[in-house]
Amino acid sequence: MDAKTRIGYFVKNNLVLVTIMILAAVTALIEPKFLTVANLGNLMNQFGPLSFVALGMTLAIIGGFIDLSVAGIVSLSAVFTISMIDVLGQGGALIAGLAAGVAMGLLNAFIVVSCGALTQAKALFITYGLSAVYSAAALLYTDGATQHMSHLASRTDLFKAVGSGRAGFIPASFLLFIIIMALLHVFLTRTQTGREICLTGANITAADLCGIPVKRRITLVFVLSGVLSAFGAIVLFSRITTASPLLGANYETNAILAVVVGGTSLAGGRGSVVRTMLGVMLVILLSNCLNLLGVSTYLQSVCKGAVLIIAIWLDRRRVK
Amino acid sequence: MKKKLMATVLAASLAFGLAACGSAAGGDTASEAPSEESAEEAPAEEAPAAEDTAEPAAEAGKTLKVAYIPNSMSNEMNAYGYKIMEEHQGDYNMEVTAFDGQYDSQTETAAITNCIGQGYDAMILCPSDINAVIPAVMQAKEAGIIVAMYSADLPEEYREYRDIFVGVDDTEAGKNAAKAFIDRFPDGAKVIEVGGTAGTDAQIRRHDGFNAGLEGSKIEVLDYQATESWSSNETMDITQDMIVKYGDEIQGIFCHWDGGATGCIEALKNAGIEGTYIVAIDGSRSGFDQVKDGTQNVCISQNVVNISLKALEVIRSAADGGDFEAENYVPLDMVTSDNVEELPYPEW
Repeated sequence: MDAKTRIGYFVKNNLVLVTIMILAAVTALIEPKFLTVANLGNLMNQFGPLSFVALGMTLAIIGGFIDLSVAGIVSLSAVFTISMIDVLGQGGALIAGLAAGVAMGLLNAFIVVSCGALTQAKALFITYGLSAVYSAAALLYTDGATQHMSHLASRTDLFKAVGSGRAGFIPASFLLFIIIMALLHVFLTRTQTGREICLTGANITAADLCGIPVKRRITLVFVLSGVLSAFGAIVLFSRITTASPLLGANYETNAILAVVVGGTSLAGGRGSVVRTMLGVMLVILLSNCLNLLGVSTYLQSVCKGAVLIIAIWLDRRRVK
Repeated sequence: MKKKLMATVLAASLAFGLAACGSAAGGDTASEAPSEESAEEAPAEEAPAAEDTAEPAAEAGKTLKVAYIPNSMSNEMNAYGYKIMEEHQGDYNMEVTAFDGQYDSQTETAAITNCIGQGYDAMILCPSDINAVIPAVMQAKEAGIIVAMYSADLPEEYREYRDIFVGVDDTEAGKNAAKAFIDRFPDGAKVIEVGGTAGTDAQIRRHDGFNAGLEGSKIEVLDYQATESWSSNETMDITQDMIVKYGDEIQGIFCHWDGGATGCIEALKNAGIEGTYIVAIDGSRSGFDQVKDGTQNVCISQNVVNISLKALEVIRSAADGGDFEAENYVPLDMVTSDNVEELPYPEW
């Protein structure tokens, strides 16, 4: 294999990485402040909430589903957790928030499995409906009012550490993301359960015939998606110190964007949480670069949409 | 049997979801827009036609059926406005029902047309897109319904189709923000502007008003970015990016809303920057709290109580055939550390 072929092969298989490098190089040429330590820390900080939701979405998509309920889960877990701080204390509220994510994931799985909605299309509408349920529950729970950490009587140091704590110049939320991503990578690639999830996503009938407990694997996928979305919500409100009942709006689209751009196949069964990290990086970098270059919000939306379309087009070409 | 049971559970969950979606925060808001069927039963053409603005809508003194159709009941200002209307509807002999626009022009339009069919006497509208509801507003006008625009007015060429405007002028609010910077920095300063959801009426008017107010001044706007969804997380990201780009050149930030300013303040705190002059619009609890603790310098406050009560008062006058002003601008309050303790603390 000559050098030209090798480069072509590398580019074809690492398109996101190459896009990130080109985007970074072009932005750095036009705006030298892009390459400062401050901006690097800024980028890592912006990784926070979306990255956790995208990890959960990766598992759902590998497992053969698209979980649109993440937006509602983020909203409800955030307002619920913040309201529990004065009741249960910091640790108790954190556990309660994550438990809420687990409960919502379980409900998703229960409804999907019990209805026999085992195809991506059928489950898509169920999770969409459930997202509306969770978002409405967040509005009812709060009376539509934004919850403020500053209004709490209890200490909130733990949440402040999650939201704005740093180890050197590395944000705590980014470190947590790396740890969870590494654990999930090992889970998906080195454990039997992880491989069973991939097989279930690739071909549920074949997985069932092989004796894989597909319903339990689907349940696990939705529970993990729920708990990771709840964790994303906690990182999010810890960062901005408030939680509105609409906090999770649009998170599902950005998470799907990050996952698909990262190279996880929408057809299910194939993907990687490490690649999702690259997808999240591209989404964040895109906003960061366009903000630094002074591109208007309207054009930024066009750029994001174009990136998603290109990613799906490339995904289909790879499948063919 | 098992499948049937599961199907029932699913149907119940989704029905709950739909019902909850349409419901307002903290009130007995109608859970969904009136049915299409009822709209068909009594089409707009059959409703009594208006001969003159607002006059034939109701007999003097009768209980008025009023529909409140805001862009979203999840917006705290709208939810609080409805709470005020509910509390005072008896004073004006009215029954006010809210229909959630869900930030969707189609839903808002459907609510308007369905309310026409259900024989409402008046409507209080705060659409997310003033242009998208024009055909429905024209239909309401033809049906003789009193149309009151709440906080967001129709474009000038279509104002003949509404009877009343009540609210603050967002363009004026933007101008007031500009004035706050000019007063604070008479010798000039460099500021950034962080906007609300791109394309919404409030974002456009606040931005235009701010730029118009700065004309001829020494204030330089270094950069401007709007958000995708009135999100504090987005304002924080944008401010962080601006800090990287401009560093301590930034002397002030104009954010289109108080909740968004919270994100700007957190970004400044994380970057260890102090003394940035922050101005935002709304008059919500967030704004008042931030002014009290000194992290926000000026909060341009729209008094939701006065706006809501004025809407009820003017609709009542219009229905009774009395004199009323078509345009009712409620003055904005400039909330600063000097007067924040004297002004009533907002409930939203």
